[in-house]
Amino acid sequence: MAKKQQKYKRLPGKKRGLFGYNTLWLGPDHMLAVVDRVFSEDYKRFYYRDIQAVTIRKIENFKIVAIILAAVSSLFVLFTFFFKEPWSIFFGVMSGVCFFGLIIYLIAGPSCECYIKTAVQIEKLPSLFRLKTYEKAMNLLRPKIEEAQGTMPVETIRENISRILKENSEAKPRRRPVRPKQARHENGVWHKTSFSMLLFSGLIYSTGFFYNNVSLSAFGSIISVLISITLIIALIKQNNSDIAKNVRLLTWATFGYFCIDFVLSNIIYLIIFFKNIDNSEIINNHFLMMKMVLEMSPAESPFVMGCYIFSIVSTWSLGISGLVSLKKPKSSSAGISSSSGESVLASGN
Amino acid sequence: MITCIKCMAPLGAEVVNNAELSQCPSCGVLTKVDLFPAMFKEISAGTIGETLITDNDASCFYHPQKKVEVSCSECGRFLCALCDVELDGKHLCIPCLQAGKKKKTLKNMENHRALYDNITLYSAIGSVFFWFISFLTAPIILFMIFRYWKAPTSILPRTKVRFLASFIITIIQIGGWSFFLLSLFAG
Repeated sequence: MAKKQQKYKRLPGKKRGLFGYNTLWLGPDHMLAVVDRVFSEDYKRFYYRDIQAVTIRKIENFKIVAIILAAVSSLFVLFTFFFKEPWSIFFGVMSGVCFFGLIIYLIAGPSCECYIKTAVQIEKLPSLFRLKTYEKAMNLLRPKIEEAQGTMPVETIRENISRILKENSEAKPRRRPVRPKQARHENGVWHKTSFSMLLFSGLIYSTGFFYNNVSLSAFGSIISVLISITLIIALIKQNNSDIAKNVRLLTWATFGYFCIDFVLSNIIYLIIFFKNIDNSEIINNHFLMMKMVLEMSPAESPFVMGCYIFSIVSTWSLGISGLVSLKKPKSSSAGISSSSGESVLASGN
Repeated sequence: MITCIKCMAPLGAEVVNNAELSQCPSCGVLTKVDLFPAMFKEISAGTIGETLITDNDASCFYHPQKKVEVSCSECGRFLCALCDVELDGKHLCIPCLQAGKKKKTLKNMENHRALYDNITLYSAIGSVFFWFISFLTAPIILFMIFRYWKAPTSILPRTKVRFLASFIITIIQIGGWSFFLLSLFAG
């Protein structure tokens, strides 16, 4: 069999999905975007002479993910010292895995979204999802594009853009532009309160993990109820407001956590109910049942331990992430940000 | 006009072709735009072809009233400017373009390929875990290996190592079943 000529050269970057991965390849006169779906491949060609622009947007979740990984890793390290074998081995391994993941994540660097524009399409390039990878790929792609199209001085390009912007602002719009709804300013007080109380709740859970006490558990339950109230107010307040998208998502994630926590609490209640089903004195006395639930220690059952770990990890990571996101400077735009990337560039003509 | 990916606000010239990321003046997101000369290239309108004036001139195969510009590289039919499709330096008519895409003779029109080597390899590996079905799957996989050995797999550089690996696994499975059946009948 004749040796196949190496026609394509792979660009840096590989985005793995559930059933395949995305890669980019440099050909003689085009760039090939390949979607490998394990049993088949799909191809898209971008000819160098047709590429008008490549644009990226930095995704601002780098610090949040790093904080979450660091928090989870620290928690597991803490558990390693406080538990005996075999749990200490398990938590040791988990802390190692999380720490290793954190190191890899920090080395990989901030993530981004990359789009390529031609005269007829704007396509996302999923494999260029790290800033470092994008820079390396562009250093290889740019010479090919310049070879096909020629070079234009940066000043000339900027002059052309300024001219087009001026022409567009002077010309009548062909159609009414889609304007984002005017957003209400929100100072995020309820969000700050919710996340701060969530951290406090995390502290109570962490203390209750090592020192089980009915009063502490009861206090923790009251705090959870208060957080639920402030959370619902925060969710109402963030609607149609200028609260950052990250904060909104984290608020919804916290709501999701409380829904799961509610379900888990009821499961524990049912476990105690069925354990004491023969004892009518206990099951008919709700106060006694509540006391038994609050008295449950993580050491008593793996399920309860799992619930505690889930609560501790969730409260700390959501609380810290929420407060960090709220500290970021708000945008000057009064509009709600759009998540659509397809309208990234309009024709310059 | 260049707009921000996130908030669609217009971006000024100061954001274009910068070495570093710049903030969108509207939403503050860090963005970078690399513009190329093709952005300002005028896209010329296509031509509909010249009308045939004299009977001495050849006419387009698909438009008898239009003058011939070029002939199809595949079938040789005369084509007017409207019917001519230029691809990879070749001039093609629409039916040849469609046929080329369908028969996969035009490499640059291919946008999908089945990876038979992956199909045979993952099937062979899967039948190792579900060994009881390997009695049926092993011959099928072996047939597929021979059937698609020379078939084009990926347009990217690729070796036959997957086919070889699935061949080895399948041969072992067939050998195992043969041994089992022989020992069964031998008593």
